[in-house]
Amino acid sequence: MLQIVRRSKISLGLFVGLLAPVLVSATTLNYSDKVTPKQQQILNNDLEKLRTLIPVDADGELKRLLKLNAVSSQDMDQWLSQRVRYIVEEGYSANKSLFTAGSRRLAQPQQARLRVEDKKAPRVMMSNLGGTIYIAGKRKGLVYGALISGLKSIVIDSPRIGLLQVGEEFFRPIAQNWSEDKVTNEAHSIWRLTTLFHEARHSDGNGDNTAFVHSVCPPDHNLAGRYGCDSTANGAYRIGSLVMRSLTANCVNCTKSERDVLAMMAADHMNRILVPVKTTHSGNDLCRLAETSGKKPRFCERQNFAGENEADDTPEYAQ
Amino acid sequence: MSDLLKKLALALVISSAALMMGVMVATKEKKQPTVSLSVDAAVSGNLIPEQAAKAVSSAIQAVAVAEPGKQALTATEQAQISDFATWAGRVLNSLPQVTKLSENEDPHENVEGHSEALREGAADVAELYDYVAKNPVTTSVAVNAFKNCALDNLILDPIRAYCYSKAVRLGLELGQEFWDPSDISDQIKNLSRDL
Repeated sequence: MLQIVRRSKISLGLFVGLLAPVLVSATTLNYSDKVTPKQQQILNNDLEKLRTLIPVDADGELKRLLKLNAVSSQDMDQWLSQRVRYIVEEGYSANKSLFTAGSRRLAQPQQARLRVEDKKAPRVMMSNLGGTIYIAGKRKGLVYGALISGLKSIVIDSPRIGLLQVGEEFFRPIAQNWSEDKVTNEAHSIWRLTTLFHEARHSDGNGDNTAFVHSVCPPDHNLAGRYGCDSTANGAYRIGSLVMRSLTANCVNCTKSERDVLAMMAADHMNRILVPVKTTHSGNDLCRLAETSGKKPRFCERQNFAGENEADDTPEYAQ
Repeated sequence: MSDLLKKLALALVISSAALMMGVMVATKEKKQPTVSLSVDAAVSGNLIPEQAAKAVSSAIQAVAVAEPGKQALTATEQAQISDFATWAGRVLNSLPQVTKLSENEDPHENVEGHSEALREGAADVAELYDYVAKNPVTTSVAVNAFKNCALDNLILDPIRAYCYSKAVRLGLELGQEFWDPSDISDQIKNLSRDL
């Protein structure tokens, strides 16, 4: 896979400026045949919707962190296409589906922190199995392969393999008292797309930061003691937050309540980042209101942390 | 604490908040002994939720007659405020709370994505605010409800941040000072900036 990727980079270099628009690829998801047709349709529609949305990037952080040429739905789609490829069902068992595809020597031999659990997690929404399996292989000096029902087997020789597991919860309304027909509306698409981008970030990174694994939340956090936080400023939660804000900003079909719920979800992402980050604010910033009322609260005195506490996102490949 | 007691406590917080406002206005303008008595009764904890709702209603009536220069509230508006206060109390009472990791719980359990608790709570408070935005007559009651929510450290941080943001914004609309209490962390306040 490494060789293939290197070759494509050289090809890209030769045609830059000439064929760039043609080379922009769209995300194609390869589904296990156990992912229901309805779920496949919903996800494919979400990707179609992504191609029509106009992302907003007020302070350039989305472009900087995703390393996009431009903040456009096409560029975001291409970013996603490089990190998300295979979708398996909630009941997918890694234990029953893995095989040893070879031994490996590590490009970056640091030990990853993620503890790989074999037991089934309760009510999966979405998780990046490829990153998890890659790290498990790395710890054992093996390269695993995975069987996917209805598809050819894949060799997981990088976190970039893009193997995601999706659960039924992901296709339900955001809130229980929201009607079922909302599941396919724009707000729900943005929610699912944001989750896809979050998981896609787990396809990046190397060494200690392979797959941008999550850290334990500190004692004063809502999720204290659980692996639900990020110790880097450019991990999955940061990407999720930026994408959520970016796509919501121009959501013409979102109701006010839906926008607010999505905004709280973005805040939840930000709340899980344990290091200072440059925060993005709209023209409706509370601190602007404070200024107009002659106040300057302490929390409004913020610095620009752009570029700090960020890990190298170059994906690792087994050699 | 049983559910009934919790509901009662919340209803009283909301109703007493509404009553306090009534008292403040009433005391400043005309002094309404009826309202003061209602406040005392509500705070003393001797009221059941239905009685608390009635107390809110009487406070509203006091406001309606006590504010010179403002058009008196219609019966419909009074009922609307009363209903909103009861609803807000119920919503705040049912918001998801922070749960500590138990000894038997696996810290690796999947907490990826947004928890159901967060999503449910977010939808509820967003609905409350949406109603207030469409029915400005409920703003005074809403400010206090959102303040209570923002101050409650058992409620999830993103929801507290939302409540803080709305309490400040609605408070400013009413001509109040920018609300910046020290017992809400800067982290929550910072999260609230765009909410």
